[in-house]
Amino acid sequence: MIDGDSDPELNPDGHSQAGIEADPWRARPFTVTNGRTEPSASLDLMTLVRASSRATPSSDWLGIDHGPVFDLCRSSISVAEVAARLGLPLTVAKILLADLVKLGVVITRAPTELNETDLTTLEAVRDGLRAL
Amino acid sequence: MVSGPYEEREQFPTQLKILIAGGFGVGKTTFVGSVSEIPPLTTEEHLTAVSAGTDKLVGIESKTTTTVAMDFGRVTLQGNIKLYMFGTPGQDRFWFMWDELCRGTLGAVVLADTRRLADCFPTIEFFESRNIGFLVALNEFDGAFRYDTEEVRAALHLHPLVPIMHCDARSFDSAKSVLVSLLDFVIKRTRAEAATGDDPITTVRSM
Repeated sequence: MIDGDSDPELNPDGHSQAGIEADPWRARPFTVTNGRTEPSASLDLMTLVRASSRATPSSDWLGIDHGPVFDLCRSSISVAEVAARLGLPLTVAKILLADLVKLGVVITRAPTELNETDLTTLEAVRDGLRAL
Repeated sequence: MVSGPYEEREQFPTQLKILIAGGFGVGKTTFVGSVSEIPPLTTEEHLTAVSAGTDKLVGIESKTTTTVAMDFGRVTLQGNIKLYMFGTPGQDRFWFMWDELCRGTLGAVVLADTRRLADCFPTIEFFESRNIGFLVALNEFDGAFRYDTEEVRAALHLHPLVPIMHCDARSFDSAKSVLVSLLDFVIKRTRAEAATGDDPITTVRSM
């Protein structure tokens, strides 16, 4: 969501019906995150997140803002993709995801650490690209 | 509401990334879209007072929030590898984001437009200083004069070993061959480094 109309910062009145429907995130980012600016767990752009098998959505923790985030985690997805699909600024998506991680309902997997000398992986990527 | 139990041990893919960098309007999103299996997605980050220390706000002092948009796509390769391509804004005032973007990247493609070559200077300098393997791909724009790659190399003061090639960001085959060339280069560099203990880019003669 990069068009100006969907940016809550640029749409302060928020009264037009169209504006409300076009943007599910009509609250300002700091409202969504409850004033927080730092996620409570370290999440990279490419960290994979996925709902834990033990997770049962509960209204106790599934706030209005966490719900759509949790829904996207039903299959593994990257942090960047969660942010993009929900049109959330990255930091906001990270903060909401970190909440779910803290609750133990979403599990994470850090991006692959590439050893500088990992020729096998590099070659696998090259061959994989060639085979596309 | 949960559709079924998840297998906790589900095989997570190997996730890697390549940066597609370059100036504004040089074709980064087009390039990402040519190879990506999903339509390029956009993430944003808001630049606020928090980043004022690192972000030069000269000229836009009155502006309190800047939105940085970053496009990305991904492609699944054989062997359960997911390769992400991040189209990154090349302006130096966005460099506060680059630490995270560069972490663990396989390498970078610097897309250049020969009509606005200077746009990619800061990007090239950045990758050189971070020792990130990159190549320069000259995106061919209709009606732009086609320079010889060596002329451009000279204009960019590019190291003799850094690959430079023409490409058409709109074409899957062309974009794919740029990525293969980048991997070839990174592999060559890694091999040379392992053999000599030196980075061939900083010690040309050792290669």
